[in-house]
Amino acid sequence: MRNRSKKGFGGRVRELRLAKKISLRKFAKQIGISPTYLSKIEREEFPPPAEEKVKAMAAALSQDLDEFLALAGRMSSDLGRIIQRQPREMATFLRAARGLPAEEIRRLTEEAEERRRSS
Amino acid sequence: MSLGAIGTDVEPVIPNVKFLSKKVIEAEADALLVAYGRDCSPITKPPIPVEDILETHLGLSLDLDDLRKLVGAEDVLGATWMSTREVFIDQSLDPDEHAKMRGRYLFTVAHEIGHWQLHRQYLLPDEAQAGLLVKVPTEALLVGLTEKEKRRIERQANFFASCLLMPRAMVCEAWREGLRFMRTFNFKTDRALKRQILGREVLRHIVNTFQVSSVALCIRMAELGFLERYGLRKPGSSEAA
Repeated sequence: MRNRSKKGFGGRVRELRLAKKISLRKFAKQIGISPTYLSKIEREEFPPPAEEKVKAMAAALSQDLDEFLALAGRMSSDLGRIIQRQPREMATFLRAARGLPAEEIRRLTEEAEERRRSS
Repeated sequence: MSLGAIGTDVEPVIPNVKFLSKKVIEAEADALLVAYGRDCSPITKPPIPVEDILETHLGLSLDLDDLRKLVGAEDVLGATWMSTREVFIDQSLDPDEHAKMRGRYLFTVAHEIGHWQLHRQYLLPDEAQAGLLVKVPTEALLVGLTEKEKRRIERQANFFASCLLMPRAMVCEAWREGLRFMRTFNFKTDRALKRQILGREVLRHIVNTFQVSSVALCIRMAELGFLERYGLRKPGSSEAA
């Protein structure tokens, strides 16, 4: 019925849901969507749902929220607000940090948090 | 409800569908419940978690979709694609969208489990052939079966579903419990009518606890000999026939 080789957002949700032994209908209820809709999302016939639903899925499946949103092709709405508040600085900062190894980014994050605490 | 499988221009080779006695089918359903209890969690009371049995125990996928469109037939409510381990239920039975269809939905899930447990050997391709085969709509897969064999296969899956959703021991216990409860109401009428009223009320209670349709329950109760004892009629329609 479907191409099982693709593992986008929907395929990943199904994989994680089954690993947690949650049935389609139970999971749909937990997220607040209909089982038919969830079934189509998991088979990637429908695109990922709205941000709030993706967040609920991430929480129910114990996944990192931002990574899960990225998999769904979305960005947490608070990030948009952060950039809009300081568009030039934040955009420049992100472009500068782009491509740095994860360890470096973590170090910069810690430094930023330290500065925020002491300011 | 029908059985899905495989085939293109290579017509599937389907051996004659074996006769299975009710006893054998019921034993198969009971064995599945025991296996599920061992692997997942023991089922101590109804309703039977047929969706969990299908997805987490048997490792089949369960989906809801417009099956009439997918399969291209009007009367298909469930279909199983054996080679890809996929079960589809028609979205018109989605119990969260149509609460009244809950019993029918669970029965269809159990019916497809019945096909998987009892009939997959007829339709799974040989490994050597697997590369040649692609999936086609469900109905086409029964190409190699005679009408009699098709009816047999459907009847077997229906009886399996009935046993799976309403295990003998649980139904008997629910019946006894229901009667005990109903007898606490003291109402005066003649004995035969009282038995009928009691029977009907207990049936209503069991329909809710087992989450099955009243037709399916009546067929099971008739099978177990309860209806006659309480002067109740056997259902005319045949969801589980």
